[in-house]
Amino acid sequence: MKGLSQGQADNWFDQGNQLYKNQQYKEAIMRWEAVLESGVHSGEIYFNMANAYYYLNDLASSIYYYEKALELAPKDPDIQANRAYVQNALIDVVRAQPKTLFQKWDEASGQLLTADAWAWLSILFMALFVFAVLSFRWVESPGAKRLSFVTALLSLMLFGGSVFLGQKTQSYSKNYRWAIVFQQEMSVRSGPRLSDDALFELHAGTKLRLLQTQDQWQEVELTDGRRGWVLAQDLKAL
Amino acid sequence: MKAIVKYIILIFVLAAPMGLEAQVEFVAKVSKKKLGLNERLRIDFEMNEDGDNFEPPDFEGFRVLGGPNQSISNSWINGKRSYSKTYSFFLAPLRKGAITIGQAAIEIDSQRYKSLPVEVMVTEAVEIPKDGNNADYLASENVHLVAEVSNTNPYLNEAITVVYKLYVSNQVSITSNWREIDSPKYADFWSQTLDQKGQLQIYEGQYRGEDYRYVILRTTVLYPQKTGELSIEPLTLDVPIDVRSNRRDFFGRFMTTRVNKTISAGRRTIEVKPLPLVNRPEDFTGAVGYFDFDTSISRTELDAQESLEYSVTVRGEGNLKLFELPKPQFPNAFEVYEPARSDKISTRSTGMRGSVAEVYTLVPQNQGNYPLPELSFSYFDPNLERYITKTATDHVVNVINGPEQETTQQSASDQSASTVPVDKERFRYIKLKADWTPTNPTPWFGTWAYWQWILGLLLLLPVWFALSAVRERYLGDTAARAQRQRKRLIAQYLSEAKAQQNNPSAFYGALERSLHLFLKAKLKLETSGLSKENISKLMTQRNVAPEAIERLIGLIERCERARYAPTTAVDVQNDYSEAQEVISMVNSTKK
Repeated sequence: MKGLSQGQADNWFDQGNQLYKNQQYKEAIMRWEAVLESGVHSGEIYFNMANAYYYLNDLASSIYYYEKALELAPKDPDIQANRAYVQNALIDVVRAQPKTLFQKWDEASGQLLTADAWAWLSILFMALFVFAVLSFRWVESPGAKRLSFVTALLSLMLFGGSVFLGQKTQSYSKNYRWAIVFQQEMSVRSGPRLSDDALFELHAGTKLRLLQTQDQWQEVELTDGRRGWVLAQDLKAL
Repeated sequence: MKAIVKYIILIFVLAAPMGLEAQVEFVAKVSKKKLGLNERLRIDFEMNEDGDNFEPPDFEGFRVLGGPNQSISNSWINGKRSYSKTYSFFLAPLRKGAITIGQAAIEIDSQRYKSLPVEVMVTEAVEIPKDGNNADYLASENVHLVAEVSNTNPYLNEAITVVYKLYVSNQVSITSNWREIDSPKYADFWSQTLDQKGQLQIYEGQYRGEDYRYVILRTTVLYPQKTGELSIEPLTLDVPIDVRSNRRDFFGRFMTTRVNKTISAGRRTIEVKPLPLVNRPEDFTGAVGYFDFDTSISRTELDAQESLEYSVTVRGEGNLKLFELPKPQFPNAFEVYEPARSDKISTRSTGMRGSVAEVYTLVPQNQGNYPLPELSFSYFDPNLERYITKTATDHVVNVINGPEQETTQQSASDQSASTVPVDKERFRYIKLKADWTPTNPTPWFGTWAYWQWILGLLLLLPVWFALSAVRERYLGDTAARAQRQRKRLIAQYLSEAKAQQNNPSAFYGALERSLHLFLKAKLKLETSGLSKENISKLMTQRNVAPEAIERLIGLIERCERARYAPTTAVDVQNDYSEAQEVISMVNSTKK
């Protein structure tokens, strides 16, 4: 937090909440934006902004902030419920391709914990390992020796596992970058040129996965597997 | 005053004949203005009042074949008199080129009138002499079919009008119906023909500078569908024409001959301009004209499963039937039915006019606020020569009560489509408490600091082992040192006794002193004056082993006894080693 105390952020947040209550949605969003500019965020503030944008009928912004909120609080039922409202009002319906069990596991493992949480876990397991090795050296009864041996072995394996998952989480957040369509209607083309064929149309609020970029063009993938190129200016990355 | 009245009377008197004279007409009429060298020309000098002293022009460049022939007609119709007196000449040209027939003069009511000079064009001799009295020739010269095109250089899809007019001069008449031989085909046009209803209206008009009567046979509105040169195929009619001949019937009336002529409107070529490509809006679908665009919804608040109507309307003037209305996009929670199209178009000579509407029936499936995206419509204005985009206002549909219905949506964690029911609850309220985290956390996993932690923990193992090895060595050292200390202690206390080993009485005295000294130093006991019972009691209190106490007491007793009884060197030796053992035993006692 640069130059802004916790209390100040709370203060502006509360002011925004009050304005929202009085249905002054634009003013509320301005307050909340100020909080975000101060360098802190939370799932709650993104949720509130998304709700305000919903009442301003700005569906793309609304979806954008719901997705942001879900990044910070993936299991929150309120966010999911309100996002369903907005998704009903969107024009595009993208049905995700069914995934194999392995793919599901693969993705779930990349989103289980944050990379830093895995880092702490790995340190914990390493400490446990060191402790177990030392106790193996010092205890004398065979039962205790066996226990500490097993503990050392297990914690070493768990250490390796958490380092692996930490790496995976890090690469997941690098490989899975998302964006929301902000243009009312845009064409997805087969290549990064205006002369390339328009494959299909997308409308505001649709969530896309970002792949590669060239100049002002961005390759995207929908959750149903369709791919194409769009102008990067029509998107807003999460 | 009287003078003014006189003047007014004078003005009336002078003005009276002028009013009469204004109606006098004296004109020269030629049968044709263009003729071959081998043809003949008739010229009539016509007046509507009786005149005298007719003075014909000198007809320079012509030879007078006949004339002057004088004819007078005088008729009363509905009490109105019409009079005409004509002098006719038949002339043959003598040379080619433009020849001016000079003025003729006549005196009517002692006023001299002059006709206007007439210019006649004389061309090369023609093969068939255009006999001014030949019925066929007259028919073809006096009936013309013309296709008038309103704009021969229109834009693609811009309305143009083709009007077919049949011009008939005053010399011939058409009394029976014509037959259409060849209807024009408009291959690359969208066309609509406006039928002339009922009796044909007869208009007065000019055709190549001459007075004609004409009828409008047909008006066709065309919308070019292709760019480039397009041709309109001609309209061809078979027209029966009544031509007045010179012969007269029994009653002196002119006899008419009927001639069937095939006349054609001629082929017209139209150069169609393409619509400009620059600044063409993306949503342009080919509308050309002047339009208004609007969208409307029948209701803004309703319950789920009720229906509302959303209509898209374009009204104005242009190719209304020839473009598609913009297709609106609706939220996915709406059930959308095929739109019903309603056209209210009337076609006039300037093009189509009216409105085109598409009405969509929508049935929302879930509650919520549904903003309908704004819709825009682009058309090309051929007058301004640019594209115009009109955007209709957007609408918001508020679905108040929704059923407990499942909707497909993406779940947060895996982006796969799974059904998450939107429960019956309202849109949830905002959260009032927030936990702040830095917006851009620096990742810690994988950094050098993180690996330092891991390495540090791993390094604990060798460090620990090294330390424990050192400690063990240190512990071994202390055992040896304790041994040395004990020896030093014994040596310290028993050095005097050891020195007196050869003198038993002195030895025992020194031994007893040194034992008391040892107890005093070791156990902080002043024992020299105490009884043996007290010594053993105190030592028991200080946890000295009973065996050590017994042996110490025994040793002290022996020392006391040795003062009175003689002892041997063997005893001295035994007691000295006994003292060593006892001291080390007591010394090892824990405090």
